[in-house]
Amino acid sequence: MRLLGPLTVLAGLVWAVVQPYRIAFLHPHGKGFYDFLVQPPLLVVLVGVLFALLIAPGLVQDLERAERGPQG
Amino acid sequence: MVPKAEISHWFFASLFLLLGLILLAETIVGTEVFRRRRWRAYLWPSLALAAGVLLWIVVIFSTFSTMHLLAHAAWAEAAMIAGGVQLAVVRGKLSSPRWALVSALALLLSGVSFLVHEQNTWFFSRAAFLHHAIGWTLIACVVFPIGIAFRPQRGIWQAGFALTFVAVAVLLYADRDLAPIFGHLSDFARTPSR
Repeated sequence: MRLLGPLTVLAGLVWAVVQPYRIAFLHPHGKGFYDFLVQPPLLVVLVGVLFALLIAPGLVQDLERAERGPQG
Repeated sequence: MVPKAEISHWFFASLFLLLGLILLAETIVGTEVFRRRRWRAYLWPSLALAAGVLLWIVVIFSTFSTMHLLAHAAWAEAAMIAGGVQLAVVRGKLSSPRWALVSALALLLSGVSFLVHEQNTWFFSRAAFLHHAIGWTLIACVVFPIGIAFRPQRGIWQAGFALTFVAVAVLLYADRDLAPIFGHLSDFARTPSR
């Protein structure tokens, strides 16, 4: 479960390396406002980061508490 | 300043990817642990409802084609109804696992809408291919919420349901307004982009 976020980030980074032209910052010529706002590989990275920072830590904590049981 | 269709598709892909990760996390840790913090329980219904609301905005911009307008309206309704029912389940207003059948119906309606509103053949362009692929993926994946409704204790159905959103996200990310698919692009389409 801990790996879901980092793996998603990794997928986004690999995509960015394989298709750098999908990132408007690297190929700004002829790109409009929305191209800079929505860049697919960076969106994948963003989703992974959001999940890893906002959702995963609490879940791991609760899972460890549940495994320790009521005494833990 | 209306964004291109592919822009909104990538945006919704991100929403579905996040939804898929959340559902996958719930499958891995179990519903009991996942719902130890109340706000987490509301994530999936809230995201579904939000997707529905955002889809209505897309409907507003889809006046160029009645088919697109109706399809996006159908997805908006399906997302909002599924999200609303899940919200009632999380709140404890509805308790039967059979309510997962509403999600199954929403997936079915969404899949059929994808297939019906795509007028071109599979290899007409990448967008056409992906519409067919997403439509059939959603229809095939209806089996997962049906499984949740009748065998909620089996994790495979929940994992399948979560991965449905991840798969749809991947397909939506692959979308381009105008691009070839496996080297095919109809002569009726304009100059392809990368």
